[in-house]
Amino acid sequence: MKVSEQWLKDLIKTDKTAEQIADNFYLSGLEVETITKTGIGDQPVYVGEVVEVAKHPNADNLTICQFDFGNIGKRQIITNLKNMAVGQKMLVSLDGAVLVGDFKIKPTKLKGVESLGMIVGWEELNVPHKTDGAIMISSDIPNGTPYSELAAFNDKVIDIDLTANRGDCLGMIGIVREVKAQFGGEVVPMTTEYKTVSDKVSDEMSVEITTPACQRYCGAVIKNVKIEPSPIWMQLRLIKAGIRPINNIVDITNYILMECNQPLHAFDKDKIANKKIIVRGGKPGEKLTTLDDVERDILPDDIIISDCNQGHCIGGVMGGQVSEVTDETKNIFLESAFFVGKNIRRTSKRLGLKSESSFRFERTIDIENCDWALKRALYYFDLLKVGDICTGIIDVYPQKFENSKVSLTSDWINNKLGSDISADRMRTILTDLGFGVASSGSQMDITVPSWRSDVSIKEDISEEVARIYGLNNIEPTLYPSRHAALLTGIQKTEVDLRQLMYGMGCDETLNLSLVGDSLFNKMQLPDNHPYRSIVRMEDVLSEDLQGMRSALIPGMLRTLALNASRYNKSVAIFEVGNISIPTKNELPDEYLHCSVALMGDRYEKDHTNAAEKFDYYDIKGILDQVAFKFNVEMKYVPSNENFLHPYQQAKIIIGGKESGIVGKIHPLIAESFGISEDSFVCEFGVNDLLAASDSSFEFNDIPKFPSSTRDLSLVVPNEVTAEALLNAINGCGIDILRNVKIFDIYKGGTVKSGCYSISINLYYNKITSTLTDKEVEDATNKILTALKDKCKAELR
Amino acid sequence: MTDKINQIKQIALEHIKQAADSKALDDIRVRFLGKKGELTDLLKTLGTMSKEERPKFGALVNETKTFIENYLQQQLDTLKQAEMNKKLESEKIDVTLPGRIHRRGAIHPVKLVLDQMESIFLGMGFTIAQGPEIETDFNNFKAMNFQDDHPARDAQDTFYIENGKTLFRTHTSPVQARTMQLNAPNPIRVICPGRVFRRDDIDATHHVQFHQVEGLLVDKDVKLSDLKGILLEFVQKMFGADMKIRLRPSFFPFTEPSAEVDVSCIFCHGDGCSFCKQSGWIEVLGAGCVHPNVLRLGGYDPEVFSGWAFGIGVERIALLKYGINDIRYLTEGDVRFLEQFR
Repeated sequence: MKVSEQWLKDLIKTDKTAEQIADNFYLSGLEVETITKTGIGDQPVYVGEVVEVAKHPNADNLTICQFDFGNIGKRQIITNLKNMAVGQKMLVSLDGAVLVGDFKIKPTKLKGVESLGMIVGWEELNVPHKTDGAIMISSDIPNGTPYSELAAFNDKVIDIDLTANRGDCLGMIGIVREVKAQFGGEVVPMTTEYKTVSDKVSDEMSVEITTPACQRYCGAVIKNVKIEPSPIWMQLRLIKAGIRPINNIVDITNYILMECNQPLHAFDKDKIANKKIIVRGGKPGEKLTTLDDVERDILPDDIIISDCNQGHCIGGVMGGQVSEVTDETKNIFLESAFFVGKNIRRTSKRLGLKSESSFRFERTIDIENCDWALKRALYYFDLLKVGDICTGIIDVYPQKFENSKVSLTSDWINNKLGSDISADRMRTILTDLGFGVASSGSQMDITVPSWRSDVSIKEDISEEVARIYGLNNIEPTLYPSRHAALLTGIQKTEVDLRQLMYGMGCDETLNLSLVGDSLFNKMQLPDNHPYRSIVRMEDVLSEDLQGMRSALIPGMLRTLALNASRYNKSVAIFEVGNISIPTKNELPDEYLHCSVALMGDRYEKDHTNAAEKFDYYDIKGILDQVAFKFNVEMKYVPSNENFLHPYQQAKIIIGGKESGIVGKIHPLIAESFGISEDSFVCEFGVNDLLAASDSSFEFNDIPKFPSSTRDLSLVVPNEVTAEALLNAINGCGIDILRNVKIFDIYKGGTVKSGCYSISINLYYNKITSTLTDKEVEDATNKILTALKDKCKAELR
Repeated sequence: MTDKINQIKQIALEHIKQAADSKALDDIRVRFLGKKGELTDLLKTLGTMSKEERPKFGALVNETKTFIENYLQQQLDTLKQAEMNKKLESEKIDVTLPGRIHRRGAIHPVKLVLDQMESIFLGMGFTIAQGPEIETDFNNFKAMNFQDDHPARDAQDTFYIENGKTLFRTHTSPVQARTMQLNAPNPIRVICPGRVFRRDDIDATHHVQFHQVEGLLVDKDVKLSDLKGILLEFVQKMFGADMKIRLRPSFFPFTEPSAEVDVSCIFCHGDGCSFCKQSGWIEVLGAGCVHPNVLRLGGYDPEVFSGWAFGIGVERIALLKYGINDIRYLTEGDVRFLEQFR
């Protein structure tokens, strides 16, 4: 809502400045965005009349005009404007004028001919309206009138970003009420007096409403209209309000929209059959061509203003072509109606047609205001001598509006706000805002005015009181807690996991949750791959952003690709975040997952170390640390993901449950992402970690007696995994075996083909006494036997 | 014989003086003091001496031995000291060179802010409640008192899911609904951090994904002034003890009264600067008393219970706090961005 200070002060007498009003508005719920100055101050810009027009001898596109400025005299002005004609009046800037952008007017020669000024447009006078023509002035204005006396060019415009509940402030009358409540001041009555001709409106038109979506329909008839530009003052007010002037009829309807917050629509009355308007819902299959020359499909939910033959207008949204007011229009029918906001909203959204009118209907206009606003419009029709106004108005109002009533006490409000506002003060605030207040003591029976459809309950009343009293005048208090707050198991797990990841050198990312086919295609995922099963948006953003991720890895690859494209050499990142798995239920299942990705250098070369590249055992080591920290058993079983290296990948089993995947990104997939370095990813469920986590932890005493170690170098068939060897060793149940460590892997050379060599260190210790050689030998032999039986492992 | 002893002594001292290293001193020890050393040899001649001479001679030899011994030890210490100095000198390094890197991972700036908020509210007795990122239209809008076909929905451009009934949550407020449904009629004191989504064109200042922290308190006799108290405490712990708050009436369907909450500008602390356009304030969060319809739908009788709620955008605070000029940095995961927060 753009509020002209000058217009406002025509409607309420106040000594407050635009700035003071804006400051108060800002702190009382009307969010002021800017205050903009218009006009260029006191400058030699005058109404001039063209008295002579001649062609420029040296330039085809220039015209030499002689202008009369009354007492100021005559001046020769050269212009490139077309269609200059004797008798036209317009605004001209003369010698010494300083226009917008510090543009100074002085006598000058254009192609050898002197010009003593310049015809100005709106923008040159610092009024936000783009046109290429002059500002035409009606013939009754005396020549030589200064522009600043003509209308309020010099003004301030307060631009307010209204919240969706304050539709009542989308007109000047609403702003006046706010000013009155906040500052006091005398409201200037707005007249609705106008002259009529003897023709009765009831003879000219009748109205029938057949849809509940229209709750009131008022109308008037103006005959023998003369369509011409509206006066400068009216054009100027519309422009400052952000509306383009068109002609006197359209401008009056828009003026009422801005002044009285009531959308109006003018029809060419003679195009309406049988002198009867029918307000109805759309018919099945109905089509209507709107003003913008587009044929629209109509639904039963739409409100159609029609005659017995055809639809003329999509009520509240856009007029139709058939009854559009044109230069040939003789008689008009003027509509002032109340349409239900929800219908207007659905229609306007569906057709993509938003207008100042639909915007207001959506927010609910004042149903009690329709007739008055129509009369106010007729006052302007009379003032501007547009035509002959028929006697009376049509007013079809099937069910009279009933005001909401709210009963409460001032104590209730104070208790709600934590304030100490007197009942008197509350009464004054509410009365100034237009509420009816019947009260005795602290009891208040409140009648909500018809324009405040947003107020219906006690809490709404408390807000009205609070916002005018000032939220900042309420002293803060504390509502202390009776309980200690603690993280839940999964929250604690998430925090611990993140801390662990930071400690292991991984940077935290928060990847975009949205994924899509282009990402999956780059990964060459088969059509039925679970990653592709995502919760899809109705309206996708792009091939890359189609729905909610069902795994973290695709997003991780996207992030690795970005880092690769920016030549980042060493990337170690992780994310803990939600994934959504579609289900047959209304909502998908969501899980908290963790993913880690490594790419390129583990250590960039410096004076302390040579460069080292990440390898599989880096990401595996991270998983091992996770398993250790949360005291869970993580196992690895073969997997066959296409996007991973066929021989460097495994499924992660946490506590017996398949939870995720780890592996090296397949070189071809890496290439399709523009990644040239070896890269590794893993992903697992944090919930699985929590479920399997054994938080019971008991300290093992530190050895006090000497320990003993044995190194075994074994030759093992290739298919036997390290995990199998360790299982075989641990399966012996030897209590003095305190630790097992693999310290070398070797292939080729003297190791027979089909086998590899593995070296294992066994660490023995007894808490109660010194080990004997025999104990150690027996244990080692037992292990060797088990390794031979279960794993075909031979000593080297 | 005395001359002989003195001669040996002189020779020994001369050698010791000239010894270049501890090895040479060891040789000297063997030559003069060893079992077969020159002084020991002299003692062997004791037998040829008279009874009177023997003790004197013996004493003199021992005295000389001790003297040489001490001198030698003294010289040895000096030499060892020199050798050690030399060794240490050879180990001289530039102690100002950078140390070996032990990389710690970076905490994402959004998480830095989130962690801080969570710890402040945990300290004030708020537990943390979470809800799904994909929500029902009911929880996201209806339970939050958004009417169908009401312009209030325009403020939150929504990613609907193909079925049209579920959506990517546009705010963390549906967690309010869930928490109430779960806890009614017991008091509630929670914050709800989480990821939310709104349809937009992604550029330096707009994104489709961000994080919010919702706060909700439901109990008997909860007042608007209590909201101010808790928010003031939060803001002062989050941004500094001299911070103030300012409430401006606003409109959210799920609160009544509603307010936008401004905080003293975190750069000028209220004095006015170019960032806050000389106002001294920046808009940080929205808040208000829980709307009775929301309480009712959550299972609470609004005549008995009241409450308040607030919502903070986390990204905005992270951007402000760290002077980050492009919101896309937060999701793209460029390590040159992330590593600055290690």
